[in-house]
Amino acid sequence: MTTAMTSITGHPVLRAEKLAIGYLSRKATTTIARDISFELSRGELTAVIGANGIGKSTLLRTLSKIQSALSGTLTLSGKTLDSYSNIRLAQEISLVLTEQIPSRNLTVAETIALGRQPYTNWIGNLTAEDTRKVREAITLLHLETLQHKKCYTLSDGQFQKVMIARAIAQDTSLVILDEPTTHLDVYHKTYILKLLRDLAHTTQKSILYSSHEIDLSIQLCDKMLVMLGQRADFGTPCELIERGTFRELFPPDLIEFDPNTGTFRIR
Amino acid sequence: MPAVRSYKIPFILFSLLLLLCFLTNISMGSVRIPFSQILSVLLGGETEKPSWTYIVLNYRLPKAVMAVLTGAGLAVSGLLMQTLFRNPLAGPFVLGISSGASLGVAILIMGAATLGISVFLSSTVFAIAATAGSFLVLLAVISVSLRVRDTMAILIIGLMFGSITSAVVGVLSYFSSAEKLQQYIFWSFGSLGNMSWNELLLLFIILSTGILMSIAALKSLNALLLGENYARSMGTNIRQSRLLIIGATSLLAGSITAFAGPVAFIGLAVPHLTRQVFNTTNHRILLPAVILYGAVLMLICDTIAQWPASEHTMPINAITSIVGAPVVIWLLVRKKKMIF
Repeated sequence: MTTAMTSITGHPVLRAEKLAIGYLSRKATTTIARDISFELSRGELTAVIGANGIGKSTLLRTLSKIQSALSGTLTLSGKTLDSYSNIRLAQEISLVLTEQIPSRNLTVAETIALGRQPYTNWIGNLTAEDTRKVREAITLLHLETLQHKKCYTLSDGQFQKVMIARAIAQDTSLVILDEPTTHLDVYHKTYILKLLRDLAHTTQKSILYSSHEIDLSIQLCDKMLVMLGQRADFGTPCELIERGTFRELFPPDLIEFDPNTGTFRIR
Repeated sequence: MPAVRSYKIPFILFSLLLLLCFLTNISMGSVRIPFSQILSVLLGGETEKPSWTYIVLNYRLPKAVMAVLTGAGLAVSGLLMQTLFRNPLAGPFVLGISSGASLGVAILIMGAATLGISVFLSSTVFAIAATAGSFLVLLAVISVSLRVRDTMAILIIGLMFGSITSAVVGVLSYFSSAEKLQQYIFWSFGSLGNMSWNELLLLFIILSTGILMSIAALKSLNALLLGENYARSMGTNIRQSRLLIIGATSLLAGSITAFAGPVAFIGLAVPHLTRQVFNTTNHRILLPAVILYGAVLMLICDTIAQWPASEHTMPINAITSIVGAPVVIWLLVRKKKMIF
């Protein structure tokens, strides 16, 4: 919390320099992607895009410290990521994952309240401050009418909103979402991404998500990180279009990128 | 606000039900004792016959207390397992914990005798052997579960451990004397009776330790409802809480199996039955609720066990299976799926 308040606007929340990611086993090092450099700032929505298997999920796992980077540096609010304890990290980074949660018998409000765990005492008592943050998250995501419903009664889109509200209630400077729009129709895809942009702008959090929705992301994001395997390109969507980054994204035999419309077309 | 419902009314009702079942339980038995006389024994008064005081204080009361301890402890261990393995079918029996305890006791009773080592078979030694056995099987299940992601596979592995255990028990019984074999078989029928107050005190201390450990794990148990990845992202130390939960379970299930023998289905069924009444997954509500519900159900099972043939008490293990298995089937059929 203190770190979040003292960091000045424009000062990056997360900075990655010359990052190489992959898996380290006893026998060998498997590098999945290398030479990734980018900065995530407060109040900005950033998308990570790239072909299947290029390492988007590995990158997100590395950023959230589930696995460690092979080389390069990661700085979170001015300190290296490694120097964070579990609890301190949970106060700086919250996650929204693709996986199903095992218990859907929780109510919406209970699920969101679990996001306060990094701040609660040993038995998990909610203080007035915690309750206020949970209410705030419910209001921000317009979940008032659903808050007493059980999670198994919700649609995929509604449930995704609940998990985003839980991450917001965790009150971190960075929110990371792994493919938040899978299983959703095009309306709800747009709805969720637009919601993320509004959240980034109103709450001044930095929000990072991975996605296959390239054309939607071009229209909605402040910054984009395009993973190309041997390197990664980072910038505003316009800069990336000018640089011709999207043309390198896929093999050229089937589809091509049209820089005027910002979409892919069949050749 | 979140978790506002305090569930005061069901808690009060269940406490009253517990008291009622407890009194019914000690009123039943091969010797008919008027209820007013039982009350007067409990309140420290005089009875018409001194033998009645003896029966109530040294036979019926310890058995009822044992039923309460067994039901409460097994229910808590079932709840812990279901959350840790994120599987509604988990329970001390299914995961091979009880078979582990059986193996420990089998090795103690029959193995030691076969090898010519004489062991002093006190209840404390039983408790140590059973707890060690259940802890080892749980560790094995956990170490496999770290490699196998699929929880169905873990359950099957638990069942396999169960078969291995019974095979080893089979080999041991083949080589042991009739007397030792009988001792083991009587233990495996399960029994709540024949407990001295000292043994009850020991069991109570072990169970309290297990329940205190569960209370310490309450926060991470709630976090685990969202899965391990989310729990970790909210600051839960997964390795530490996993050890705490497994440790608590093996203390609870292991020590109960040592004293009462393998008691089936209570651990699996009670958490589900409790969720029908207390419609929540919050462990701060569920933990006290399963303790109450487990104690009530175990008292009822024990009352049934001594009811029809008042001369003999039926094996408690058979009763809990006869009551428990249909309950699980009924839940699956009526509720279509076990939401937990």
